[in-house]
Amino acid sequence: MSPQKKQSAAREIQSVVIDGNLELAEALAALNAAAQAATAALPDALMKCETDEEMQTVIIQRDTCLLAYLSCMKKTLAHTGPYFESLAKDLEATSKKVKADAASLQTAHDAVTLLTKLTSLVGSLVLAFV
Amino acid sequence: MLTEHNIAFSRSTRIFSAGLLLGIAFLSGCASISEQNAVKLATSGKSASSSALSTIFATDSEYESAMEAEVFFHSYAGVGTPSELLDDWQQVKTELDARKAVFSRLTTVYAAFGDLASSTAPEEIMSAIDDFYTALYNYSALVTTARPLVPESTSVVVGNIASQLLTVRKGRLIRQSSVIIRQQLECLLLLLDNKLVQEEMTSFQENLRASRLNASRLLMKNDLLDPSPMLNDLAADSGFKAVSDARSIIMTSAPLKRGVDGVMAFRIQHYNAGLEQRGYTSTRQALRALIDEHKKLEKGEPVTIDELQQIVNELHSISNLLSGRNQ
Repeated sequence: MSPQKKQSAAREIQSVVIDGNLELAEALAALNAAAQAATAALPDALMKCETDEEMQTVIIQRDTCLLAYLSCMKKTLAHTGPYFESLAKDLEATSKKVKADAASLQTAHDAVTLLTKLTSLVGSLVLAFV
Repeated sequence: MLTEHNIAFSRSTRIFSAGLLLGIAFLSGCASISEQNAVKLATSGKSASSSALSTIFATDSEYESAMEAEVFFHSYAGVGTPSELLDDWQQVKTELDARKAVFSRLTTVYAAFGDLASSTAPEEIMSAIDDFYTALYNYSALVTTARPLVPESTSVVVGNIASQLLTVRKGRLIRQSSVIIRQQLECLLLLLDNKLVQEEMTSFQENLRASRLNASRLLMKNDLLDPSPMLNDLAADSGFKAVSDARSIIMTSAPLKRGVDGVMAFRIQHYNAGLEQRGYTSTRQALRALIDEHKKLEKGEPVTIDELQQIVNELHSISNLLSGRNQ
């Protein structure tokens, strides 16, 4: 592999790692699978327990898996949340713009209607003073 | 009253206005926006965004049922539900719910887009100008007995010009809005295509469902669930129904119990499995279809919403299935 190609490949891998999205997605997927498997195993495991202590051990082990998943979720949401916030703000601005555009079409019609009413009013006033 | 002056004025005005109308028609461009297509697209967009909202986010009732399942597991095991666990669930839900704003605002944008596309201002202005002329004519008749200030034919010409100008303006505004909306749809699609975002959105719903379903399994294992509906389903082809004491009969027979437990476990595991992933995939498809239709609209091509409508129908059915489990 030429030095230029090596550099390019290294930059690409680095960008994926630095970006973190790929690693985070994989970690979250793995923790999700573990949490769901722990929950799925819970009914059988609890039924096999003979003492309260055994049941408590089982549920604590399951909670450990679930808490690991939720902890990872909180971290990833902090990473991706701002993108959604930014898009929501952009959409709000778009909504206002489109509404203003629709209103601007009506303005010309309203201006003419107002002028009509004013002209009729002036005519009525003229009649009143005849 | 038509005088020689009025006739000459009317003729020159008509020639000028014809030229102006041609110019307006030329400036409006060859790829003119279809207002009807824009209205169709606005309606579909609104439907798609509100369906997506109810499909890819966990509802409050789904969440509450899952939390009750958590409390049930922990109480069954003789421990209190750890506050850290409940707090973490709540925190994650709150963060995800904040994303609903994107879809609810998209619905609002499409409503505004529909209002813009269906504005009748270009048509209304013609009658408004006609009314204005009538008022002006009546006024001028009051103040002078000479010729009218403005010939009668002028109002028709002016009305046509104003209507054309507004039509061109409306088309331009619709195209501009379509471009902006499409660009924001592309941003949203980019976000939803991201593997991490997809994992976040679907895994949360899947874990909530896992809690609810496995609480059902624990109830079933403790013989607290009535298997009659399942027995009725198994016997549906024969037209028969389970007897009223089916449950007590099953309890006394180990093979029957194994059979029934097996089916119930299978149902719990597989019933509507993968629904969250399907809903997410359909949402992305809906966004892609919307983007394509916006491109067609902007090019002046016909908008065909059949494919989009099918996807929206799919979203509706997934949303109904998801909400049906918590009724």
